[in-house]
Amino acid sequence: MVGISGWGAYVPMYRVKGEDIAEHWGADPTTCHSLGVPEKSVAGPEEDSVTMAWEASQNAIARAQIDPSKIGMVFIGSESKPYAVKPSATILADALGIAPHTMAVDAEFACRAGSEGLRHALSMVDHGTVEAALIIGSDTAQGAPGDVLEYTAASGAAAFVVSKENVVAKLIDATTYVSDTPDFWRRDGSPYPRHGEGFTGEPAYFHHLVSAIKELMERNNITPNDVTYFVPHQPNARFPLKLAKMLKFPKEKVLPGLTTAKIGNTYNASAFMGMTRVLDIAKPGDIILMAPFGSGAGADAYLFEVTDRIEEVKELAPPTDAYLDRKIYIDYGMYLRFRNKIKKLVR
Amino acid sequence: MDISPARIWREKPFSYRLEVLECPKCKRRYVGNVEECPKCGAKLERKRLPRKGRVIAWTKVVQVPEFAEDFAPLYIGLIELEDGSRVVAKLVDVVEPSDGMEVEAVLRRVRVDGQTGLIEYALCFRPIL
Amino acid sequence: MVYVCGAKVYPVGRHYDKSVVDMALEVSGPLVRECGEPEAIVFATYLSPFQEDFDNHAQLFAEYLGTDAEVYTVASGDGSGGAAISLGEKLVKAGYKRVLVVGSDKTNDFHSKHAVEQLTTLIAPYERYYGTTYSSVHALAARLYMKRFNLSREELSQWAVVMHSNAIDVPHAQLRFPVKIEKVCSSNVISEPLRLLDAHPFSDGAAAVMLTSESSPVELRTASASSKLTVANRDLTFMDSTYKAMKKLGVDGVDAVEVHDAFSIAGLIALESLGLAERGKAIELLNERPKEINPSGGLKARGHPIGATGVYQVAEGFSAITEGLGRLGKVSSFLTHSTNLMGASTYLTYLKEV
Repeated sequence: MVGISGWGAYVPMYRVKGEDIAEHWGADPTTCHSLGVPEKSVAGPEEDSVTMAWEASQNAIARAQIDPSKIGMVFIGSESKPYAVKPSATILADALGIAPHTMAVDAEFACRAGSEGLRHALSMVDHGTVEAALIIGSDTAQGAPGDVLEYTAASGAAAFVVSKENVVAKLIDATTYVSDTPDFWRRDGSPYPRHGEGFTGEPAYFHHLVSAIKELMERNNITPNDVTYFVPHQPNARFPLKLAKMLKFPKEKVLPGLTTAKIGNTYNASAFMGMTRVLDIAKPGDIILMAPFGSGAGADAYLFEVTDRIEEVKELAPPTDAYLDRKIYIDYGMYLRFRNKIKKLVR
Repeated sequence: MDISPARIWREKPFSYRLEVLECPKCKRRYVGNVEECPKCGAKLERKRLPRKGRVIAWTKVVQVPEFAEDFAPLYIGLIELEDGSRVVAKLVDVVEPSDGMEVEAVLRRVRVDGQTGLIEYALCFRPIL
Repeated sequence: MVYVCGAKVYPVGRHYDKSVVDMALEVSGPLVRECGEPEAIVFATYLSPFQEDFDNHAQLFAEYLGTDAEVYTVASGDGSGGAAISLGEKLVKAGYKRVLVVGSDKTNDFHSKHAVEQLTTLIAPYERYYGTTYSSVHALAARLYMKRFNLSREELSQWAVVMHSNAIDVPHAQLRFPVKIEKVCSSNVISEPLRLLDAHPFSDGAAAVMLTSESSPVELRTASASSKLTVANRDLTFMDSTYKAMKKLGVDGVDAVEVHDAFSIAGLIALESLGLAERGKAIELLNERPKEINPSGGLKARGHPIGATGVYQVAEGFSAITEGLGRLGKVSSFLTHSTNLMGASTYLTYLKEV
């Protein structure tokens, strides 16, 4: 039986309010509320996707109760890598005590790179290639100053340990659906992404997720009634609810994992973050449908069944809510400073 | 400031994992990469210090070195770890530290070499969650 | 026996027009002409390699001085000056007739934030990479000391008040103006609880002392010891190396003392580590004998040209014994205390009228 044996989240403690952002750009102050994201998490000046990944991983490893040296693959998905060339995965493997006998991968697929890693990990562990794998989604998400993305592009990380032992969420099945869809992109060397605005919706987010999820549900012959929690990718707090409606999932099955409503879209950690919160509250026997999405575009749909072990390990690391609730508000000026958006002396 | 690749590489055991060298005979401790205890000659063993401790004293540093300007103000703490050993390290995620505050080690950036150089990571301490 | 036959100091301040070698020559030229050619030169400097992007000062200095004396450079952090005196004494004891000890250093060639960064090189790598500063090490000591001995912010400020008033009558001192307690207490924070007026200024300067085996008006003796550099491994409220060096020196009473008060708190701790005051009581000693403690104004007010400071202290002691120094006037014995990073090492020099 292969599945998730440990989960962990990390969210920086700083928050900036959408209304504050709007005020600085002369925008409608209700914009953030219509997106369902009143405020977003901001990484501090000494944080980046690696440091956030480190803490989420520590939490996942603690819950998996695994000797880090047993982990045979470290896979991090991020679109905010500290280095364009130099792997984040080796920093993490070394700092977490996993190195040296491990694979180490940095992947890019917009917000879905971490999920690609989860698919690889489940397959490789199931096949016996590695005993366990550490999968991380981590981003200090970029949004160009003044762009609508700035209201939602947030910072956070989520990590899973995949193994056959100590499983808390057994994999039932997974599907993937990809196509060349130019909904959101960032060219090499550009500091901020661009996007097709409305085009990110129907042909991208909704089409790919619906396709992957429908295939999964048909293949396993299930209906929304069979699912306890539905955790899709959440670029804002509106899209996931609309998606749920299209697929006939009641709102109540989406809200527990809708962490974007509290901290914004953490890109590669988006659906993963929701999943960590759902695992914090899940009961043995619960069925979870997690569906990450990445622009460019692709979606995955996973069906997990929660095992009895979950109750034994929840307390081994801070729950996701501990991070969601820990917050200090900073103003827009501090936000610009923390995220290195102020023109400074170049050295 | 230049961050040397060799230095941050050799300092990893301590900066990433709080690993020190301990003499099995005389129990002296060293931070670095020596083979034998300089005092008694025994082969040194790697040992990981506990990740948790408490603040003995702290200072908010306003006049910071140039390389730390992006992180100002800095909070530097004298920390007693669970096994009684002490370290001087940076406190992060603090608004107003206090003596006796319980802290745990977390990986953070400590130096960034301009726009093109290396990023130095090290364990810092923040209030236990 | 080792004697001091002469000493010269360059005014401490901002000398944009002078290099480290220039300042060293300004004080050494007259001294050599007065005392005679040295057989060896011990050159103390610490920050100048960072400031001037040049690190072979002693050689250039010797060339310009026009001597074929053997040349050594000493760098023991901010205690370099004291270390150079200590080595000079040993060379004389080993048989040299004259040894020139010169300390010369700069901190002002760049923006002060560079000097702040350069001074972090005093701190062990594993404690330094976070941005730990020279001031923050002293700040931790201040926190611990103030808590342990119940010292108030106002009491701590008294150090600066005394140092500034001592410096007024010292021509080569950098900060020759009085300050009031309230001003010290409300000056800008550098590293809590330490404020700008608790701190040494950024100084450039040079001092030279000629040591000799030939009988002269002032006799010199040194004693030094080391302790721990790692800040975490120390009792920050005490300087172990100072205590050990003082035991080696074996001197009971002195007329006046120059201690290494890079920050106010270090001055208090130094007096206690020297055994001149009981632990926690240095502030009382300061109030009782203000003119005898750092009559030059100390690092705080005379200034702190990092690697040269220890040589200044000995030159000042020589002046105090031979002609009088500032408010102190003339004395017959004098102790100087130079340390590397707040007591990682201590270099003591005892001067006595012959």
